[in-house]
Order: sequence, then C-alpha cells, then structure tokens
Amino acid sequence: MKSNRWIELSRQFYASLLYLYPKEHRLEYGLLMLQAFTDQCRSAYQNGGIWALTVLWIRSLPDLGLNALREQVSSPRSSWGLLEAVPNAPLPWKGVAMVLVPGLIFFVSQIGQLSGQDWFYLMVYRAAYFLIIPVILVWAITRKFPIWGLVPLGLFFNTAWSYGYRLQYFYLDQSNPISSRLMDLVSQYPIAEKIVIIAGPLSLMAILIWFSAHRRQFSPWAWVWFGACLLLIAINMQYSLLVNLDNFYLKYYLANISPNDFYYYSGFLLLILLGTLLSRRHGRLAILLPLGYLLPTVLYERIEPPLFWISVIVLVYRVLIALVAPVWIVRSASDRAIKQASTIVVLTVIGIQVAMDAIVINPWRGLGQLYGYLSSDLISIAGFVLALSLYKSIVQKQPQSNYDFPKP
Amino acid sequence: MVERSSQYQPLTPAVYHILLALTNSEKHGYAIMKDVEAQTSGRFKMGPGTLYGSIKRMLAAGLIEEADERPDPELDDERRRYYRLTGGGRQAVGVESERLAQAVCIARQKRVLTST
Repeated sequence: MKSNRWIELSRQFYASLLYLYPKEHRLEYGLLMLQAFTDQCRSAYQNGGIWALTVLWIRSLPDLGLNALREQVSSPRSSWGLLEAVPNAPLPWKGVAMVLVPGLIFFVSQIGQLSGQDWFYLMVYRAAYFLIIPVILVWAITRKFPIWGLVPLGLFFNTAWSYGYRLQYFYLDQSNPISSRLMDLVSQYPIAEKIVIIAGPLSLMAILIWFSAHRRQFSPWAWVWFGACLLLIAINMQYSLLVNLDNFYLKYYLANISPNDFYYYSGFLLLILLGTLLSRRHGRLAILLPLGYLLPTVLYERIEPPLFWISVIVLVYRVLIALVAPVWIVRSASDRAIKQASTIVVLTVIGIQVAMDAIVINPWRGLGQLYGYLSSDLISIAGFVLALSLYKSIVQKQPQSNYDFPKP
Repeated sequence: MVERSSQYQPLTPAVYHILLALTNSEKHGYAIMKDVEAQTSGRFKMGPGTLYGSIKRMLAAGLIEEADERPDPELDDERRRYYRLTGGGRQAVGVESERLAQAVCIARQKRVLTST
C-alpha cells in the first residue's frame, strides 16, 4: 500500500518520539523501529482506516515510552553517574535528574509547611517517600545502590522507624486479643511498657551485631564506640541520673526511663549497623546514611517571626544536605577533597543539630536540660565515630562498570 | 553458548515468542511482529519498542544473530535486517517449551485447564 498523509504524519511523529531513547540505541535501532512502525501503520490503515491507526497509536505510545525508559535506565553510557564516587567525571544529567526531580517535589512540599499548613504532620506526607522512590527504582534496575540514595535512605529509615513506634505504642488494636492482653499487661506493670518498646530494637541490633561481628567488621575501637553510644543512650534515657547519683536504684531508673528517646537513638544505631552492608560498595561514604537520619523530618514553630526564619534556614539546609551534598562529595576532584567535603557535611549536620537542640531544649533552664542537650549531641558524635570506625575496616568492592546487562 | 543461554530460563514472553518466530526461517523485524501476532491469535501484539529492546538483549545474550544473506534481495528493502536463531537460542526455546509443556501437563492433572 502507498503512503498517505496520515501515515506520513504518524511516521514523522514517531520519528520525533524516538529521541526519547538513548543516542546509541537510536542510532542502532531507530531506523529499524521506524520502518516496523510504518509497516504497522500501513497495515492498520489498510484494514481499518483512521480508526485502526488511532488504536495502533494508543497501543504504541506505552510501548515506546516504557521501552525508552528501560533503555535509558540500562544504557551503558548513561551509567547513572553518582552510583559510585568518580572524581573529576562530568555530571551525568540522568543521575542529577534522579536526585533533583523528587528533590524539587520535596522542596515544594516543604514550602507548604512554611505557609502554615499542617497536613505535612501526617506521616503519609513525609518527604522521605518522595526521595526514596528513584533510589529504589535505580537499585532494583541496576542492582547497585546509588551513592546519592544514602541520605534519602537514612531519612526514609527515620520516617519508617517513627512509624513503627507509633504503630507499636499508640495504635495497638484493642479488638485483637493478643494486643489487648499485651496492653493490659503493660498498664499493670509500667516497667513492662518500656521493655515492650525497648525489646524490639535491641533484638534487631543484636542480630546485626552478630552478623557484623561474624564478618569481622567490628574492630576493637568499633566495640569501644558502640559501648560509648549505648552508655550515652542509657544515660540520656534518664538524665536526672547524673544530677542525683546518691539516689540511683536500677528499679527506679527503669521505672522512669523514656522509651521514646531509646527508640529514637536505637534507630540511629541500627542504621549505622545497616550501613556496614552498604559500605562494601561505598566505603566510608556510607556515613551519608546516618546523616539522613539526623535530618529534621518536620519543621516546628514555623509561623512566628524569629522562628519562621529559623524554619526557612532549616528548610534550605535540609535540601542542601539531602540533594546537593552527595553530588558535591562524590564529584570532588580527589580522595582528599572527598574526605574534606564529607567532613564539612558531617560537621555541618552535627552543628545544625546542636543549634536546633539549643532552641528546642533550651539547656540554660536547668542542669537536667543542659545534660539532656549535651547527651543527645554526644550520641550523634559518638555514632558518627562508630560509623567511621566500622566502615573504614570493611574492604570495599572495586568500582566496576555501572552497567549490568539485564536478563532478556 | 549453550550454557550461556540456559541462564536466561525462564524466558520472558516477548523473547520466547521471538525465538519461536525465528525457528523456521530468518525474519526481519516486522515479519517477526506479524508472526508473533499469528502465533498468539492476535492476543500478543508486540510494538517496535518491545521488539527491538528484546532483539538487542537477545543479540547480546547470543540467542540470535544477524543474518548476512537475504531470502530474496530483489523483493526486499535493503535497509531491513534479518535475524536468525543461534544454537543457544534453539536450545533455549526448546528448554522453555518443555518447561511450559510440563506446566500445562500439571495444569491438566490438576484440572485447571478446561480446554484440550
């Protein structure tokens, strides 16, 4: 059949859509695809006219779009940059787009918070969900965890971990006989309530420690810093302990501890231990993972004038740490520059946390507040030293090609 | 090659049908699409995106190769590329067909399959 106007138009439009494919795929198969599509158009038009041609288009668009996406993801040239730390390499637009697109959604949703809306307080609207999607996508397709996904994963873990606390603590279903019985027990024995909250994280931690120790990832210094973290967390849970040492009894301590604080910091420790799995690929840069955990997930006191500007600063800082810092670190020109950049980022996060805690806790109100303030920041510092001592002892996988050919 | 092809079992429907289409003769892209449509009584209509994405991966996996000769160069567009099965591809389609036949057999035994 000879070509006609509709077939020619379809051909031209399809040819322009082929630009969605990576260049190397387009050069190799573009003409062949166009030829096959033109043949399809001719056949469709001959059999059913313009209606059949429309149906063909409806069928072809998802085929072209999904396969273009697949080729973009698996193209050896695209390499997603940012999967590994490659000093001096040019920034690949796909890797940057994967960070920036959800990042912009994240940023815009944060502006909503500043305008006084409170929907963001709901767990389901947290920024972590936006940021983790491209990370999971790239992880699933390339089977390699991208380096720019470490901060979002830390942030996501923080959100999921808080959700676990809420589920465990507030939303136990009373109609369920097991949880109802558990709640009865908890109400009868105040100490049991704490044990319920504490036992889960402790068991998870024990499993991860056993796993890491089994793989000889725990150096003597790592044990020391892990012990220091646990001690600081234990003290933080009841900070009047140091204020009133004479009256210290274990039972009194257990009855007055704050499981909420333990739960939060045990999440931080768990994430550091989980980082040992990712440090095989990313080495010491796996420290970006616990960094994500310390990013604030919601802005508080955001409307009143002085605090409004603090919230704006926190918002900008959060975007910089989550989006810009990983790009800056992995694209630094040498190993030394990478170390410098990561040190600056970690110190910035700790510095901002210290400043924010000073605003929230107000340590000058009394000795207890001062201690709570200091101990929470000491936990963060000890945690980062623990993370460094754990990650540097792990033999890093040699960076390979970012491309694994997917199975047909 | 044979060992290499066995690692791709089970095959995706697109790859399996393309291999089946090439079992008897060398074919170009559009002819493969028509053959697949005919094999499945029109239920599986493959677009150029799926076809050439699969062909690319199958070439890399050594399941098919480009054919140098054309069935009838006089009648054909010289820009077309023809593909044919390799030994590995032939084995892969055989192994996959046996796997499917076995699954059909089990389905029959369990009376899941209503048609004969």
